[in-house]
Amino acid sequence: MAELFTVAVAILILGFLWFWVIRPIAIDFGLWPLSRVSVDMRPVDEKLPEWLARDREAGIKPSLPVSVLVSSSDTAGFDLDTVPSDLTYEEVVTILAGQMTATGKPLYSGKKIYGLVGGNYNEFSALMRELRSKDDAPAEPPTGMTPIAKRPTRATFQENDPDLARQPLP
Amino acid sequence: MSNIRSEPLRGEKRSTTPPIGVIPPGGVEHAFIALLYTAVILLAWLSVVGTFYGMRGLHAPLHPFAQWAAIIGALDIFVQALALQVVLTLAQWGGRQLARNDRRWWFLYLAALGISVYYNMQAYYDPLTAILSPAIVLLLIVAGDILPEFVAVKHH
Repeated sequence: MAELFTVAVAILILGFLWFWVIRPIAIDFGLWPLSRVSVDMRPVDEKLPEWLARDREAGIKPSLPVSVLVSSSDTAGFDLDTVPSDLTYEEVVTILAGQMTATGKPLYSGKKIYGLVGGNYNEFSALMRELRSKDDAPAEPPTGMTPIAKRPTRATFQENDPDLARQPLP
Repeated sequence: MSNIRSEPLRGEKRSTTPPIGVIPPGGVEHAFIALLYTAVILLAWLSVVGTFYGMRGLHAPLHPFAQWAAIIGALDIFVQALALQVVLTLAQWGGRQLARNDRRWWFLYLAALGISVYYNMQAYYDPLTAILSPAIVLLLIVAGDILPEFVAVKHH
């Protein structure tokens, strides 16, 4: 009985160490294949309203925060931000539009939001680093993501992008 | 930013069945969270005490009163141990946060964790292996240095 208890405690602690320490480090250093990472990619302009409405109708507050994939200023990179998942689409865009740098400049001015994903931040940041490191990183978003910049908020997204300025607001 | 709370789309109709239980679910949740925070404080204290003894290569007595008497008798060393543990904790927790942007910070995280585990091993390994198996003691000491961050720092 004592041995059984010892094994159970050992499994519990090792599991915790694996998910909290070993796995994030292994992913960051390319020792754990990213293909094993489970990331739920949802084209935001198609799925988010439906997804949030379904959860609300069921009385469920979504448990995972939502990570928003945003293009960076250079063509080969993407940035990542995180918003709570119990928001409407318009609130998500408003939050991103209101994000500022340390010097008070709009963080995502003129940038496009490509998608929402759930999952572990460390795992997804490792995925983004891999994308940025590729010499042939596409200027366009990865397959499966849909740009939603066609529905920007007025204050920020229209600032630097003349095309966005002509889009109707939500 | 405003949060929208999820509301079930049920009508105002009341249930006719009597409620079961007397403890509100939210109370259980709050009590468990309070227990977690208490565990964090206890683990932090044990880490400081472990550093207090480990710095000098001594074994820590498992009885709290014996520990307290030793601390009172060497208060200056205890303050040093406390300061050192604060630095190690900040380095460990900060290293993880910085590693989100640059994976090289993981080395700082592992170094700070390693030093803290080393001192705690010096202090607790021998006393604890008298009552537990060595493998469990090892895992408990390592987990005890990692768990406070898991509970105390907000994460997703």
